[in-house]
Amino acid sequence: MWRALASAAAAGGAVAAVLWSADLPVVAPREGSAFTAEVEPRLQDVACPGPVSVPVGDLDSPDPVLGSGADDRTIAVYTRGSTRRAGEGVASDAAIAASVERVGSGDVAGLAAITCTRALSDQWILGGATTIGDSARLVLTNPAAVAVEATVTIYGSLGKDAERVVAIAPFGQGEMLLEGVSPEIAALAVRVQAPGVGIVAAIQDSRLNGFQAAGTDWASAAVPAPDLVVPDVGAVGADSTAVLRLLAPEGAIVSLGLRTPDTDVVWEGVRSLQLEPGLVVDVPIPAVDVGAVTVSGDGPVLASALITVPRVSATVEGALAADIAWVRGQAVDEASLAAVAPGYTAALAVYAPRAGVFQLTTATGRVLVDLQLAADETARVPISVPAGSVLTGTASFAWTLRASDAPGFLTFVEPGRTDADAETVTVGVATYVPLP
Amino acid sequence: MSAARIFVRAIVVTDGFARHLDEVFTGLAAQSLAPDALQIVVTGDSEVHLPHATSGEILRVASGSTYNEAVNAAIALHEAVPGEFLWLLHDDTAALPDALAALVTTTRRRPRAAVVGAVQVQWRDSSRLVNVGMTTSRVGARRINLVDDDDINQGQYDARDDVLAVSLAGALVRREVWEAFRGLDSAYGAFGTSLHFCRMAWRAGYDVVIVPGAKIRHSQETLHGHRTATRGGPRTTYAQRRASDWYHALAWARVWWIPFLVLWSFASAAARVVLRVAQNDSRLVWADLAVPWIVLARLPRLLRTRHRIRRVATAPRSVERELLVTARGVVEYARSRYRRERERWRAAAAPNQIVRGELRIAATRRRWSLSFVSVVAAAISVALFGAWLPPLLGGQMLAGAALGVTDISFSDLWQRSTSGWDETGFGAPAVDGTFAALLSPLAAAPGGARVWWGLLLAAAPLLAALSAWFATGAATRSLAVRALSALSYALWPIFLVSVAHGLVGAVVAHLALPWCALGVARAVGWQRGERIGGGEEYPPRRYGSPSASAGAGIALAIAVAAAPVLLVPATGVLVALAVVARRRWFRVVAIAVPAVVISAPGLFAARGLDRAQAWAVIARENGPVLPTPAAQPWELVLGLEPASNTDGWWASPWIVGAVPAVVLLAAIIALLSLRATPATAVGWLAAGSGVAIAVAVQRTVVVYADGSGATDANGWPGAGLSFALVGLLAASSAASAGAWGAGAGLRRAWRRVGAVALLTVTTSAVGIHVVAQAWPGRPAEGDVSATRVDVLPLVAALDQAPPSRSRVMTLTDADGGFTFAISASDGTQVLTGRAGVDADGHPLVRPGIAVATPQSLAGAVAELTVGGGSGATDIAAWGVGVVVATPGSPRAAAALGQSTDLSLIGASELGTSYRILRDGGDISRAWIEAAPDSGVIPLAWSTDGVRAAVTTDGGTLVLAEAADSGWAATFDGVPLARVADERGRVAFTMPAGTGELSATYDDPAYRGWWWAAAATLALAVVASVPIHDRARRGVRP
Repeated sequence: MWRALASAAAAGGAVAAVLWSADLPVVAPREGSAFTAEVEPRLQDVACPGPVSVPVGDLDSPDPVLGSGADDRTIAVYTRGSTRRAGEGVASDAAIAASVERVGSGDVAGLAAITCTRALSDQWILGGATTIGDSARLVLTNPAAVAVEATVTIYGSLGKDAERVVAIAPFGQGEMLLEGVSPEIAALAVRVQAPGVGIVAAIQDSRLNGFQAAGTDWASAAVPAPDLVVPDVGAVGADSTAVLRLLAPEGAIVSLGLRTPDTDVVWEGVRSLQLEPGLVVDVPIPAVDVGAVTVSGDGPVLASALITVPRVSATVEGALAADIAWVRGQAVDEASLAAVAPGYTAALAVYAPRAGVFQLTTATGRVLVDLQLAADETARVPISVPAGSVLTGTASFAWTLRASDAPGFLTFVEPGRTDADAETVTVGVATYVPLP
Repeated sequence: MSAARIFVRAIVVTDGFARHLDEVFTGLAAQSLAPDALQIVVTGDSEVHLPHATSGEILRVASGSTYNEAVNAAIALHEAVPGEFLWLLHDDTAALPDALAALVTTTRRRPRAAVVGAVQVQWRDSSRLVNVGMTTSRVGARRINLVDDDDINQGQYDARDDVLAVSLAGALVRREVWEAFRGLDSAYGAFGTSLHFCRMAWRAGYDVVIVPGAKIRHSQETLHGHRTATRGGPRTTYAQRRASDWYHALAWARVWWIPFLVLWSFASAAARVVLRVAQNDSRLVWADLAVPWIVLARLPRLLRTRHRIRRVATAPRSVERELLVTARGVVEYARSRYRRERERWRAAAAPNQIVRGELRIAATRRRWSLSFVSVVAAAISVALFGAWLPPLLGGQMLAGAALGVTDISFSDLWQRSTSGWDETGFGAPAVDGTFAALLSPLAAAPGGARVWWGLLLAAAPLLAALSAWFATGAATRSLAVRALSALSYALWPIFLVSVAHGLVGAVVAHLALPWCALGVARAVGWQRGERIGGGEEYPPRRYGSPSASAGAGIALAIAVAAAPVLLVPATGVLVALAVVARRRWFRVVAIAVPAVVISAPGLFAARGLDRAQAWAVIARENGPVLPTPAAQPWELVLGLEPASNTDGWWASPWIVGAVPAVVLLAAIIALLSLRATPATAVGWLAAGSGVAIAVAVQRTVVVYADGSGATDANGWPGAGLSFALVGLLAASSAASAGAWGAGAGLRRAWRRVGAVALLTVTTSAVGIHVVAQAWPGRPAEGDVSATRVDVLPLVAALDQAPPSRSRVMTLTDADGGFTFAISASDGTQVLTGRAGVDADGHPLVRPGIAVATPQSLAGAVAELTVGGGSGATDIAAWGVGVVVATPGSPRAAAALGQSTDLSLIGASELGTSYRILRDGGDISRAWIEAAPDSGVIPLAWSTDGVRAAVTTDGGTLVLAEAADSGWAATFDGVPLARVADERGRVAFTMPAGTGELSATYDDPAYRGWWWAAAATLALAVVASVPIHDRARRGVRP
């Protein structure tokens, strides 16, 4: 009997203990809290891709028609800081710099200018073509002390075409002739992704019409945004054309608008343009003297305009040569932009999304241009400052500097940011046990 | 041959209460040669009646007189007769009839003999010899009997004549020698007087002779302590006897040996204490400890003793030399004594032929079953964790997210255990070092912790099966039950999950608990004997063994060191067992002592806190932790939670819960059967408390975020569930013992059917579980895997080595930013144990005081990676010399590559390393800076701090450790003043000059607890040595 009692007591005690424990409150572990801070990022060096090169090599011949090279090449890299070589290009620790080059004759005759920018880890370049006669040379410049591995994805009018990976040494440069990778693409866009420190990418777009130079310019990189403005699509002369290139990486429906002082110009069929993801579309723009194209979509889009300026060839009678200029679409935000005056015949083209006063000031504070603009108003103002001066424009306007030279050379020096937004970075403490 | 007449005066001294006094007189009366005079000296007032045939003089002396005084009083009454010999008799010596005649014959033949002694035989059995002469060693501190204990008299000693000493009880002593020596020396007390007297006789030019033909029956009342009230046997007089031996040595050695002998007596006492602890003989421990002090107390009388010897000594020392025993002889004597006792014990315990045959058959079957269980368990180990074995033997190590890295050197573990300073992050004072001490023994073996702890984890199911096999062998001898219990124990679901995740604490507790249970059973004598024919057991009666109690204490200490929360249910169950054990309660309660001493620092840290926090401290986890969601008790018991992270038929609840369900069923049946009720009741109590503890632990946060990478984690229920499983298996196996043969008729038939059914169900459950675990397609459960030993790039690891011992920061990409880790070792080490922090991040041993942690560097890391600012200075201020961007973190590498404060060292597959540039010297763990952030003098860091000779112009001594009151620095012996450092580091003002600089950490409370735990465990280890228990067999120590 005692045994039964003892057993029952033990069992009862055990069950009671278990039931008591089941009612205990649960104390949950607290989540780890990471430290979040807004940090002013360190400004990296800016880099320029260097001089344009003749695609597929120089054919040095004294014959002015057959020879591809040229003797009158002038390249100037305007910067306030110190420079160092980065491959064929230049890296500088100044806030902003620009490279302006004029090639007088040969296959790559024309004006080609590009603003030296900071490295980005994910960027798109809308520019170039790889159809017959056109060469797109992608130049990747690495101004940092770290090696970078960049993934280059080529898009065309049929979507994504090819992907390559390029490794670029510290303070080095890598280049890729895109016509060797994806030939026969008329509307070309390239996406360059370089994790970590990023890379500076630009495409040298050189076109050839038989033996005549059909234009050379640098196309620079941009990041997608829903609302863009291409500040200056104005014509030069009677026969110049302008084509707008559009790409929506994830697809979008965009509305295009052409803002000119002349309200009579109508642009057909651009009310809601459906852009398939990854397909590059070229839309011709009506010829205007002064105009800006506004692109607004329901998703991130990229836009660039190609302006072709034809001229009479100096070497072959009756043949036509041309020069091209790429101008990139900008997202208008509150940051103030600056550009380097290119010299030659320079003009400022500005578009005001909202009414306001636009001022272009030099580095010393002198106001070069002071314009009162209404909403949606465009203006072009010639400027004359020594080449290399850093000009700062008012924020919330889309503007660019146009440089032209006889006999029909055209290029754009596009403004960029001289500072960077504060970044939010989250830092947490952890253990380190790497597992395979 | 002398014709002189020998006059024999027999003197009997008694206190009147001796029980054998009548036989003494009878023996006297029966002598063939009667003594010429008989005097009976009575000490005290009691009445003594002489028997009819004897006539003698009765003399009274004061009560409490010694033997010597009594004899002197007796002979003082009579003038000395020429040729008078005193026949000294006690009241427990009865001479055999021809004793005196033989003595007198020899006395006539040996004119120079001063003492003629008789052979002493046992009182009850006169064929067994007690004393045939004595001698001593050259040192003199050991009295050596010239006959074996209880030796049977076969005439082997009949030729003996000259000996160093004979027992004076029953010996003839020449009266003039007695008077010249003034009788016996009172300094000896009751023991050793004969040896001293006879040796003086030799040195005085006389002989001492033993007469084998004369036999005296001696019941050795004094030796056995019968004269005192306690009647405890020879052990009660042991201390006095040993002290007399030492006194003898002091008296007879040369003068310059005396101090050395005194010291030797202390050393010998210490050594003997260890021996007594090993023999589990606690009374003799105190006796051995008291011996040197008794000797010291007798020292004042040494002068007189030596003076007396000098006075009578006329013969040189060479006289006695060949009668003394050499050192080799002493060793031989001790060995033969030991061997004799072993033989006697074995002979007494030996079973007869039939039983021996049955035991042999049982042993064979048992070994086959054990092999089968081992093979199955080894197969499980190989199937589950065999992938670890080739890499382990090939030089890699196991690592896991919870386990950390396992390549930890023995010196690191030892340093962590003894110093009390935990090196995680920026360092913190630790509660205890038990976990590191637990890992140290295997880390000391060749191969290190990496190999042996990896092998232990890989072979954990096999070891668990073996532990459970031996433990259930105490509860039942049925091989089927033992095998099934062992395999159930090895296949316990949560145990396998613990191994797969590398939760070393839970694994060690699971392996240690069955040994504790086995020790408990053997300590009290509850273990079952081997079954032999007819339902009997061999040995028929089991005795408890104190060594087993010590062994169980060690096993419980190991389990508690691995999982501190087990102390709570273990003490409860031990108290319940002590109640059941009744007389042997002390042995059961003593099992808890090592575990309590080991847990004492934690208990002390918990005592000032409120209930919830105190419970979190008691349930703390010192080793790897794995947070799991809180589950219901039944889910935990059935192994359904923590759930497996794999899918498949093996993870289905029916498969996973099969073994636990069957174990529960068996335990319920055991309870209902009312067999072996104490065991089943306590087993169920243990099960209930284990499950309750498991659930409670899982609902508590046992590890708090400490700013060094550990996040809050709740407890792992594995240890509590292992405790519960031990209880359940104990209940079911104890109840099953003898169930097969119990009862008769229909009831027995039904019982047997039920037993077979239960065994079948259990076997199938175990079999299904074996198949499920060993299924080829089953992916690995946890994240422990073998990886290469180098975690950090070589250049970073070299910086961590002495003398700079700087830290390394690793930087990894994470969402929206980075994560960083700071370590002084190659990878995060979890197995060295945790310092212990409370919910606010304060160390448990310094309540309310915050210590600096790597969390404070988060802002500096943000600056370093993104901002390009001055983050590197703050990081270097904590002794971080190298920053490593881990592999697969390109943003981190890019960010570090652009910083101007870092210089690239190199890139490897282990990461990209950058050195932090600092003006004025390499970055080390300790330095002297003249002004903040300017030129520094790096100092070399030895194992636990700075010990270097420096020349300095003054400044501040900075140690890159979290500031704590335990750090102290001295410069040429002068303590340095502490200085508050704004970063929270240890800093002292440094005077100018040259000298020895020393800065170390010392926590006296920690050190005290460590030594207490070490001493307790050492005692327990010595006590657990199973030397045969002599006291029980009545062997004279």
